[in-house]
Amino acid sequence: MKKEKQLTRIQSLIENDRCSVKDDFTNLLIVDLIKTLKEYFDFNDIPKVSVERKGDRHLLDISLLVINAKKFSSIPK
Amino acid sequence: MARKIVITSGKGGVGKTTVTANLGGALANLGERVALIDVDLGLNNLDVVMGVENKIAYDMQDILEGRCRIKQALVEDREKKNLFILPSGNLSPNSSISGQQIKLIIEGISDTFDYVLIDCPAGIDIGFHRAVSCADEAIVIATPSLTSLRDADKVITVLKSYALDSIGLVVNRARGDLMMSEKMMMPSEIESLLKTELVGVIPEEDCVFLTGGYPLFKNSDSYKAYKILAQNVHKKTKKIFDVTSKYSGFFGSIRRSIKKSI
Repeated sequence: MKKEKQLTRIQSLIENDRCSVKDDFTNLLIVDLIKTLKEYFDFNDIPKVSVERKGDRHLLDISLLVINAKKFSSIPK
Repeated sequence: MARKIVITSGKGGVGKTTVTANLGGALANLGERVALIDVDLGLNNLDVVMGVENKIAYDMQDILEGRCRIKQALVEDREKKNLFILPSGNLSPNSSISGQQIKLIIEGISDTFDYVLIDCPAGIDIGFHRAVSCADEAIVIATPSLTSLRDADKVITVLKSYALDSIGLVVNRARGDLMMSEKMMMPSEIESLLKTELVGVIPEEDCVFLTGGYPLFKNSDSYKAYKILAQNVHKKTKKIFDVTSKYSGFFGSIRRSIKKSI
């Protein structure tokens, strides 16, 4: 197996192990995040989400580039 | 007070015992007083790798049951007067010996030595925790294989919960020829993958098999690599043995072709 293939495979393995949540979990979280964040921001990208194990806790990291924040009055009640 | 370093890996067969023996030997060559403790209960091989299996009079069980003093159980190396091994004997891996008891033994020799290297069993069950709980620092051994790296990452995650002073990474069985042919991951790539500081790279060589692991031939690459590893551990330097240098350039490509055809 070529090195690049090995690296991609082990990166994916380790990411999954560190994550400790299934892909479905992350996908559902992203859908819900988009739904909620759309009410506060304008954006075209999909949020990047990672759940990483840190000792006995987990670190949730959400990263998203937004075009701008919506005006407060535009947030539906 | 001795620096207490556990040598661990997660996966079995990656060279924990061989690295423990040779790092101990290399530190002793630097003039340090070194004790190697076999905490791989039941699957103890440190005495065999060191070639002292016939010199053992007492083991860890004898110390704990009061049949001897700690210093009576220490076996001196065949060549180095400042290198000792404490064998575990044929204890069951599920023995009732606790980390606290081993810690007390280590504390008992801590003033006599500069380094105590603890050979940890494979896995992350009771034996692993028993060994790690006695240490202040850890060195994780990994080979450039997917299974070993995956297990090393899991071990590093568990080690982080111990709040040790340092966690270092040693890439064992590195093949310069395969790295140059882009068929094996480079140590720097493994370091960034595991997010752990690389303290040593040990090349795969026939002499490790031929000598039973220890001591290595003085002109071998492994010997030089262990010397650099010992300096990194002792003096906190960051030099890494280059396993690819032999296989780069014109003559290197010939060496690669020969190695490929063997």
